[in-house]
Amino acid sequence: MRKVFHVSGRKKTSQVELIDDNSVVVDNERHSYSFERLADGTFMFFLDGRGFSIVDLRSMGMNEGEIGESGEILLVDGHEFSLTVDDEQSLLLKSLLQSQAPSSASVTIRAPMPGLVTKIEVSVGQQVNTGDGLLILEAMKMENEVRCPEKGTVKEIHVGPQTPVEKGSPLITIEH
Amino acid sequence: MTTKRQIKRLLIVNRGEIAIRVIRACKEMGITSVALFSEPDRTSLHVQAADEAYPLDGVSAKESYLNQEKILRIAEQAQVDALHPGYGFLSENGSFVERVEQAGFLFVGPSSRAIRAMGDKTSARRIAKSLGIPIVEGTIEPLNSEREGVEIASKIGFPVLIKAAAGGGGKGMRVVQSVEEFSSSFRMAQSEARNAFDDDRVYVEKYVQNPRHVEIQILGDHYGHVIHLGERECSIQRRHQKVIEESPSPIVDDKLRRAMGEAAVMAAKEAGYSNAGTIEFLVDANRNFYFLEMNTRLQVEHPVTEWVTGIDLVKAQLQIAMGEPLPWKQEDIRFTGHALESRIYAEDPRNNFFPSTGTLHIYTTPEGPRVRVDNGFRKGDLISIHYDPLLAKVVTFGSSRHEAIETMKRALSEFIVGGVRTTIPFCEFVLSHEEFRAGSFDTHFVSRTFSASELDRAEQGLLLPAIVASVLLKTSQGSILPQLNHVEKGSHSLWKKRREETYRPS
Repeated sequence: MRKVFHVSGRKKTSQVELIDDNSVVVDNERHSYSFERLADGTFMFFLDGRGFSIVDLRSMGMNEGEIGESGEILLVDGHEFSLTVDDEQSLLLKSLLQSQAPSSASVTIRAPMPGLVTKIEVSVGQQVNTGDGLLILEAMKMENEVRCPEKGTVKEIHVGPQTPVEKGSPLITIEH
Repeated sequence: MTTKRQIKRLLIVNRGEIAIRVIRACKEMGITSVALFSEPDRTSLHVQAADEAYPLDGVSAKESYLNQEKILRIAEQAQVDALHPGYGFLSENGSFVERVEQAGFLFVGPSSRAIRAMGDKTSARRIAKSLGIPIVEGTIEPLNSEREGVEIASKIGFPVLIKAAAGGGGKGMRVVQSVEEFSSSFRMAQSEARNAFDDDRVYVEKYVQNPRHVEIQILGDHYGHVIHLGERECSIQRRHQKVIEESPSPIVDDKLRRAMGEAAVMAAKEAGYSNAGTIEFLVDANRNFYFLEMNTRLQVEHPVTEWVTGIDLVKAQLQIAMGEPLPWKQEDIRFTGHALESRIYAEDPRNNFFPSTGTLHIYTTPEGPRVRVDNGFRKGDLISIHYDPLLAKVVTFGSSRHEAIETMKRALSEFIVGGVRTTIPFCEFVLSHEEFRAGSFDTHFVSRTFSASELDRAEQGLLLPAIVASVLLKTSQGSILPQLNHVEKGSHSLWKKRREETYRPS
């Protein structure tokens, strides 16, 4: 039975077809593999004869909130990858949901770690450019400047000075 | 001061890898190690490694590792002979050291007087200037007001650096490009300095363009004998904090080493300095050096000096504190090979080096020839926002710089951390970069060459295995659409079966 997946991440989408327990086709190229579970969500993985260590971070409760239900977070030889894995049904479902949702042209910047907002550097309605300082988040004894990821207008500020925030809390929404 | 006194019990006023480093020296010298721990550190590795451990109760650094009263009370109760401060926290706090001295304990470090003279960056600049050691242009006294700072900065010309008088470790330091930026940078530097050192005095110096940051390790005993142990190259920095250090420096030859070493020894002698210390210099493109500041404590990067000189700096510190004379003369110090250190911080190099918090789900440190790991954590530990995010230091040695670099690349490939993001991929980027490998770089190397997309490029070769593995993980963990599970019944892959057989969520 053919099983086809779409894997996206790192600005790329690949089509992956699992042929059997030791061969796979990725973007029309056939590769051999073996995949052995070790302890605690770690795996020994061989692809075309080359060995890699794999850690399944998702199974350890890690979820950055950025990859959603169909995402996988894994370490390959210690390097972290967040990839979205869809099969044909989940892609279909996603496209249905997307067509119903209102088109959104805003991006919400979230706290990358728990900390204390010590200063807001912008105001609602202000034009901001990529790299502009938005606010100061204090954590680990350091004052960290949260910078603007893309050009736009400040639509909403979700925090005030001296607000303690959790990892993933919304900070500022930018509208294109 | 000049009498010999044994240390039988040592209180270590620190946490993480440096506490463990000092505990190791204690074990080798037959000294009983006594650790302290904050509330979240109750089960930390340093607590387990020590012979005895006492609680500091609080959570924040201020309530715990900076709480002088509590620390001194524990020192009394535990009947220790001496305190070792490690680096950071109270290590360069003159008034704390004075209280330690007055309470009758030995302090494993310089006297409070020497700390005040050299640890205070403005006073150290004054001393260096008086000895004819070149210093970077700027203020000799701390700033009285923001306005004074703006005036001086305008006079010496932007960009300038605002620095904490009590500073170190890049904390309380800001680069200011223009008059407009001065006010906010001044306040940020002040508040960071207040939080980190309990002292908000700041000063201004000219921001030297494209410098190398080279420092000299010194050791002095209680009898006025001071030697230097060569240099460490520390130009690879992000946010003014070092990430990769090495000894020897690719730009320092014997002549420059001798000149910088002599200047460092002269400054230390002038300040009546004893124990281990480091004099930091900026070196410009023409190999002129300028006194920057002195760190009146053990440095994070001390292992590279230990490896090229064969001298155990922590043991030397303890011997000096016990009143032993230095067993070496300057001509006894020989340098062998090349040592390199990578600092592994819980930070996200893809996101502006923001601290990264979480549980260490996977934590495997490197092994093998010519690799030393000074590590403070283990699998399952929680990395919180409360303290410095340094997890471990990887130090490698080679008969040449090239060999040390290759060994480091190999060692870092073995270091697997899951649960928090770390500077490992960033260090790998540096070690593979042409400029670094050629030894021609300056303190702007990181801002000039590094971006998150560089990491994506370096990890390109891992993308295909990541893609295939992600599908295998997905299929081993069940259907993508749980509600359609029954439809799939007939098509269970081997991975699914294996999951059912071996994967039992607790």
